[in-house]
Amino acid sequence: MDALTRKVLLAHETKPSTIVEKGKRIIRFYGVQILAALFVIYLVYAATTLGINPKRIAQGVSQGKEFIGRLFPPDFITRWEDIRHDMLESLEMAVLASILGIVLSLPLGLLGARNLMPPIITWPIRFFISFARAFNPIIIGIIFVKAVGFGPLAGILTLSVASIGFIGKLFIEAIEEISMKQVEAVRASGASFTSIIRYGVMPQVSARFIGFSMYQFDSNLRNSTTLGIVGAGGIGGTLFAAYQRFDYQIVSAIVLIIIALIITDEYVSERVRRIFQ
Amino acid sequence: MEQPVLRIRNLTKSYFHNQPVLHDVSFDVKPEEILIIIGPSGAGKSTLMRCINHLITPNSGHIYLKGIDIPTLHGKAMREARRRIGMVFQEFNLVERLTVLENLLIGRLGYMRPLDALLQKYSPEDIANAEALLNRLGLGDFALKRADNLSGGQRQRVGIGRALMQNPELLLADEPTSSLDPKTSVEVMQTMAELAKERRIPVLVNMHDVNLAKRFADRIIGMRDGRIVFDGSTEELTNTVLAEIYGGDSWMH
Amino acid sequence: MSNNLYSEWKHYSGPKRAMKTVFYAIVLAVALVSFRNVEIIPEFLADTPTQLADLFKRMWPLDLKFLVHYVFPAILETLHIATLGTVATLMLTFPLAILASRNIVPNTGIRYIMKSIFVSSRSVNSLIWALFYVAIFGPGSLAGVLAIMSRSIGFVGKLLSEAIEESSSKQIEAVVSVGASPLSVFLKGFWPQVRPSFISIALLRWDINIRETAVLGIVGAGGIGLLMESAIDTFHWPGVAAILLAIFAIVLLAEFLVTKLRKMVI
Repeated sequence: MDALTRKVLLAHETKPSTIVEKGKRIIRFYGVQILAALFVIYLVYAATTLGINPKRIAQGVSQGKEFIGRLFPPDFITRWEDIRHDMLESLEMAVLASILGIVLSLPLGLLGARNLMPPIITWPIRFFISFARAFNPIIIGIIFVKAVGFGPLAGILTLSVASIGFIGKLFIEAIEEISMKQVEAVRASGASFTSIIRYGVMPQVSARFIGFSMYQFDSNLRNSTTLGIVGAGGIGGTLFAAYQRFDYQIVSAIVLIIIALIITDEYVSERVRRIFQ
Repeated sequence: MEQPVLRIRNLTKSYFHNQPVLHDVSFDVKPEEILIIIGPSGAGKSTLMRCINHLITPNSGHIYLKGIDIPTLHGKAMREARRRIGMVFQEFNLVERLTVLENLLIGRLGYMRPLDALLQKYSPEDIANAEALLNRLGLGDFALKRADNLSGGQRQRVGIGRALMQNPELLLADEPTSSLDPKTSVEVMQTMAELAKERRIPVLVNMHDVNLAKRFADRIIGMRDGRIVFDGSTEELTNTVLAEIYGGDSWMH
Repeated sequence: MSNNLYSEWKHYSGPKRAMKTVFYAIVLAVALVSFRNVEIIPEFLADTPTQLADLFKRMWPLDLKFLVHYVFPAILETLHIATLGTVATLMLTFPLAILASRNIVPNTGIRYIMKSIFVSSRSVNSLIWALFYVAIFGPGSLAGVLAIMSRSIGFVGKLLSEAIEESSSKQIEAVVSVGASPLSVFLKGFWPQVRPSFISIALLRWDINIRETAVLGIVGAGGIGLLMESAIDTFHWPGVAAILLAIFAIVLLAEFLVTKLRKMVI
């Protein structure tokens, strides 16, 4: 409650008499402030537990300057073949995983919507999607690497699962928000199940579906650049290898290429979004 | 006769070269009068209003608020001049997420330090005045409600209240009733006229509803294409004059 | 939104429909090229389900003692890192976002610099940022907090400046007209409008950061990642299962909190 409202209420309301009333009023008036104060105490506690203090930061800053020196000039040449091959691999992983994820999300999303399906079907689907969303692609990547070995296969499977988690959830939310009247109308005309979906459900959600899909592609592209760190293919592996060898100039070259790739992708995504609006 | 509250001399404003929105506009606003400006859209009425409190800077001319030439002011001096002029807007322009009471108190921001504004340290007098004004406006029960919970007419009354909280020497109203239905429009104009008379300050309004203007104005100014084409009493506003203000006969000019 | 059968057909004009077809064609082409190029060994692909099943079998039953003694403190550390990182980001990015907003700062040069900072920050994955900070500050949670900050600044900055740019100019105009100083205009004109978005963005980023922090430990930047790495390397699959459960639990908890807090703000 803001200070002004509090002032005005204090002036006009009767004073509380019982302890319970006094307590309730304190919560009403100062509830947010109390939570904020507790939060600040938590932050101090967290920082102390982690051992973060200005001295350590200062130490790091001076070392940081030296480190930044070792990043320049970026070395694009020494490992160019590897870099080129792996960047392409990252891109390919992202594309294939996105397509696979989008294609699988459509049926899964429809099956998970509570206004279309009974709980016995929606619950496991929703649980799976929740599960897929909860974990960082890196974690999923580790699991797939252990299951199917190193290389881009693990990466593609990982990003597909991640895509299903994201697109699936948003798709379900979109479906659950549609007006059932249109669905009823199509159903009343005696259409088959697929037709009901096609003409009753899809028109209401397709615009948003495309939006999520584009967003997920961006995300997959970003993640495909780091999955290599755990062996799931792509430029991440080359980057990590260079890092462990202290070849920081190669590291900075790769990072710059990644940045350029993402910026290009953001630009392209924006244009594509406009086409579909 | 007393000095005019506002003297406007040779005010000119154009956005594009050779296309003046205001062309050599001059008139006075006398104390305690209700002066209503009418005219078709694009006549420059809104621009004129916004030049007066320097939300827009004119290209040339003078706007004397009791002797001080407003277009020449900047920074702190300009803000001090602004707080002497209360403005009511067509779309109410309330801060929707704040309470009605706080919207009223925004009128005091010109007299307060930013730190006090942040901490909501309004003086007890200001709060008491705001509450009294709310009662006067018939909105006593709405003090702690969020502004976006109110109807159009109620919001405009809050807007009037905010302007009056500045203790202004002049009230400006830019199409204050254009977003309201006819009945509410009359009520709002009535409120504004009454409160202004109580405080003995003049009101300068622009609107396009001629009948409403005739009902409330002490004096009417007609504008067309950035120029004043009529300045007189409501009786003098004949149909011929109206045709000249609003008519589309280009051979007249 | 009143889409119906026929509005969908009429939705896209001629040229746009052509562009859509072109787009789909390009996507198909890219997909085919990628599929051919990517090095997948078909046998491994076919083997996937068996391998996964085998892996999950080894994770059961999960190791409860491990969960309580090792996983619990580690997941708390992850929470601390994510929260501190998010809060620090918000404090830092707030002024930056103001400087990047068209309706507050007319100077395109300053805005361009800010937007570039945001883009660069967003383009680099927090894991890569973590690599940098571990190299500078050594392994530990400080590197993790900084990595989270570095990644979040771009995300928060972009969304926050967009929210500021969307503020209604009419409300601002009114506050200016009463003669308020620029700071008061900001506090009473902009901020009430921006506040709900700010809180929304903050909560959203915090949620994402918790997920991201969980893996930073893999490169040594603190949190549960390190524990997971060692559990995997020692083939302690029941321990890995315990870790996955803990991560799942905390992510669900965070999502729940975020949904509740967001409802309070709207």
